[in-house]
Amino acid sequence: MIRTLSPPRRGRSYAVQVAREVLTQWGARLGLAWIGLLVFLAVFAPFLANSHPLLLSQDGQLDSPLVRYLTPADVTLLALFFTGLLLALSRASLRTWLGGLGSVLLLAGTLSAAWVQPPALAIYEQYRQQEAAGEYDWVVYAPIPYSPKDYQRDRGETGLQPPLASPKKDHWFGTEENGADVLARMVHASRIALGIGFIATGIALALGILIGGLMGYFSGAVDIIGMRLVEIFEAVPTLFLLLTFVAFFERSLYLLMVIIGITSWSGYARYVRAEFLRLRQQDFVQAALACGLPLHSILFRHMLPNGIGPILVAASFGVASAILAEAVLSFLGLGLVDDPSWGQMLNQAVRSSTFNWWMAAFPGGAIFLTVFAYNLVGEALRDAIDPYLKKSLR
Amino acid sequence: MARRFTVKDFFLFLFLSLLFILILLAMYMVDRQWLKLAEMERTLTEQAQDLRGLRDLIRSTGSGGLTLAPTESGGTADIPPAFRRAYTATQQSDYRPGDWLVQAFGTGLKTLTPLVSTDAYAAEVQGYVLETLLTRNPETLEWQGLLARDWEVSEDGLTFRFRLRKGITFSDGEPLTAEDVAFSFAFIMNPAIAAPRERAYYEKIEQVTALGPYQVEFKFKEPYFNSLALAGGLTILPQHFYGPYLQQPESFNQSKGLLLGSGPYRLQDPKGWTPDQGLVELERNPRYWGPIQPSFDKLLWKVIANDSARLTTFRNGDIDIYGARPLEYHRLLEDQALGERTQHFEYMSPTAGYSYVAWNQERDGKPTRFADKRVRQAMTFLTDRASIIEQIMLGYAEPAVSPFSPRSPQHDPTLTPRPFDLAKAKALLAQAGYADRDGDGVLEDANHQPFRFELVFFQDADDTQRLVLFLKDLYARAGILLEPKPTEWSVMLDRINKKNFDAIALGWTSGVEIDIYQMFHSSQTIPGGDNFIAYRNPELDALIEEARATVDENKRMPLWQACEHILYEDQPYTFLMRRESLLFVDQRMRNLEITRLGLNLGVTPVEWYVPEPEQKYTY
Repeated sequence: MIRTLSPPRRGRSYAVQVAREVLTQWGARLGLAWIGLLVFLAVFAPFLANSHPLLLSQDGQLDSPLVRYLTPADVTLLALFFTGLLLALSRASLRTWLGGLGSVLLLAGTLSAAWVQPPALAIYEQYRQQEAAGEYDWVVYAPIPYSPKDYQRDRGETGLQPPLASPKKDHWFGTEENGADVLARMVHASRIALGIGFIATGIALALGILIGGLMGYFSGAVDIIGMRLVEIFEAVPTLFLLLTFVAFFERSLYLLMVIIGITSWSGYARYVRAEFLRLRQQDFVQAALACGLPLHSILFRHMLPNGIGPILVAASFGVASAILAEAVLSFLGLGLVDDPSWGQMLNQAVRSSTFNWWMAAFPGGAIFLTVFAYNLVGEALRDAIDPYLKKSLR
Repeated sequence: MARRFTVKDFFLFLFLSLLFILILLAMYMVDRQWLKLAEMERTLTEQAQDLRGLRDLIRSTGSGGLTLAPTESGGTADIPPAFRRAYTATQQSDYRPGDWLVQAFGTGLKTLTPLVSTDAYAAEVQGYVLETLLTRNPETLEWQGLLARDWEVSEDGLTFRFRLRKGITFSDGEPLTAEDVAFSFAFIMNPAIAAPRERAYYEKIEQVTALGPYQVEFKFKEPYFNSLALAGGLTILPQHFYGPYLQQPESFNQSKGLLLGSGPYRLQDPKGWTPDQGLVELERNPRYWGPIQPSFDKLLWKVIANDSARLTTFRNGDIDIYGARPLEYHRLLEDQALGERTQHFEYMSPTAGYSYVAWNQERDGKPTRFADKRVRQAMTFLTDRASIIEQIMLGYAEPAVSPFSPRSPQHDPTLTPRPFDLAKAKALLAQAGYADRDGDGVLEDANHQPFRFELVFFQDADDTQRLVLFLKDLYARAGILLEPKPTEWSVMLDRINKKNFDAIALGWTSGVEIDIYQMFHSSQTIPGGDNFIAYRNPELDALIEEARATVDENKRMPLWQACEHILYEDQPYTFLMRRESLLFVDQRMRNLEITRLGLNLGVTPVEWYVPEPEQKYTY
């Protein structure tokens, strides 16, 4: 038997190792697939569910109302998605990822805010009416030809109809209490769910790492004061704080994100503090200190990468709980007014004296699956980075 | 050496804990005995009092001609007119006193104390406990004596003399006299008592004097069209019970459940009710003076805040009345199981009032875009009331033209609601200087400010939210941007007080003949006044004042109709609609009837009853 020489395998970085470990688990694969689907739906929502026709021809002239009605947020999301796709294809390093996405976010955000100006008024039923009047040569609609806020006033729907209640109106998931299409609203609501999860957790993570890192590194008096701060924040019931804020300020999605973010950092701070307390006595930290490196370099370049594992696990659970918090608020009728949200749709399941199963099953299922997916990914991450568990398995 | 835990120790512990439990139980038992004893003592004193009263009565009538049971002789001649309807109910073959009437409240009550309470729920409870001098006949809407036997009006219409019935007592046995009537008025007018709304209302009366034990005189400052209703509608409070609170008004203003009157029902403890009980329970007043005793042994209101929980409770038969929203009503009608054991009513109640969108004409001291009459008219043209009623109310409502009910003589039948007319609205807006100047579909005024406004509404009302979203789509057709602003009730009241809003969706309750001074007279634009949209029209002011001072109905109605024409032209509000009351009532209730005042629920004397085989609650 001839033994072929194989090139020595490149030493894989810790991150890649963990990623592989995670991907061997079926649960994590399914979870990531669901989140990937949500990301796809969120990015392409305007192309998937929209009352504005994708393309139409009127008196020989082509027009695309859908593109005219794209918002700056839509454009920014699309730009981010394609940048991410390019980076993934070119197998870029983590640093290029962060840099690329960050700069595209800034650039696309400012440019689209300046250049993309959709009309402030939308009369959704005008296309259906004009089509019925025979004013178009031909029209191409999005796969779901309803916008989330299209209450179909022209059809005189009284709302809350089960799926496919009448063969003429193809509402696959039924309609909600105002007569809007549930599937269209769910597709657009995936944006809110993902956005609130990521941004709220991002805020919490940033705050938690900063405060927890300082507490762990300096210990002593800083630690004592910091821990009291953590205890104070842990004593504040987030839901009641949210209820108060919603009652007295505007019902804004961004406000919700910020409040959920700044009330949930304490858990991350505890994790980071514990990790840093352990790391600060280690040789490499002492060496970095002896070299006279600045504080931010020691904290974030030397200590943080060694302690990030458990925090990521906590963060993946945090995303799930932020999504739940928004759903709870919307369920209590304190969420956004007009904008779609899964929790708000779930709320309509028990209204009007009957149990509207489609309002419970679809949005409820989406919330359940999303929270479940994040939890699966979190579990897999924890298994992957826990050295003891790995040893016992082998 | 440590001692071991032996069997002996075990028994010792067992004995000690048993002893402890026994002591605890004994304490509990003594406490219950004590409460029971106190209750018995109270009943005994009350009965002794009654006995004394009876003995006095017998002595005063002499030994001879006293006949007990005067109703035996038959004939309705001795039944006062106010009790005739209740009397016919008792003559039904299946009539039988007993059973309870159980209802539910959607929100918790803050207080039951009269004058201090502001919500309709407390008023409903008080209606069974407190009585007035006169009541309206539900069929003819004529006034008839309740506590008053008869009354006379002076030539100039400024003085009213009421003669009270004899032998009326409050539910604690104290007699009701003219002094109590005079006291009730004095109590309201005392500035230390927190009753500003009632005070504003009774300001028209100069004084109330007791001319004798059973005669009382009301003197008005100036002629007022509703003066009989004002005087006759005064709830009579017992002086011996509420009088001491004049010394400590704060404890009255803060009180939760001070409720005692002469009505057919009473609180078991007239001072002891607290909101945390979660229910209101009224028991039969054993000393009720009326010739017809109420049928139900007990009235019970449970507080169930959640809509679907309330419906489930009704489905289970634990509450007897359920008021449904249109969509719900529609669905429940198809429900077989519910249909078998309930009866349902849909009726236009004259007191239910109307809903509207009010356009604020002045904000931060500057006129808003709604100060222009043409803009308000255009908004009304844009508000497609027919579709709103059809799609949101499912037809269980009628469009409102003005504050006056279409069934009232105050309304001029030649006025009809403005129809939905996009072209007319656009023309009016163009006249007012609005045009789409930058081609984005939104109208701009002469200063290039887009026509955009916030509509404030109450966040927990589902139908209102649907309505607002509907309006948003309607206004968008004319190029107007509406931003929905759901608001908490307390925040909303604050905004109204500070006049800090563009437009607001609200409702007013109304009555048989209503006075619009409160909402539309320009003097009420003061802080805290109900003309919170800064609407001023001197011509209307003069008409309102004249109508209020005209006692003759034939002269007054044309004046109200003239007011209506001005309101129709000015559109200070866009009047939306009057909703029908949609009610489900348990099958075992009998003698339900729709009168000109709505369903005969809550009227005293009580007219409903439950036949014996169907009675559910017995002691």
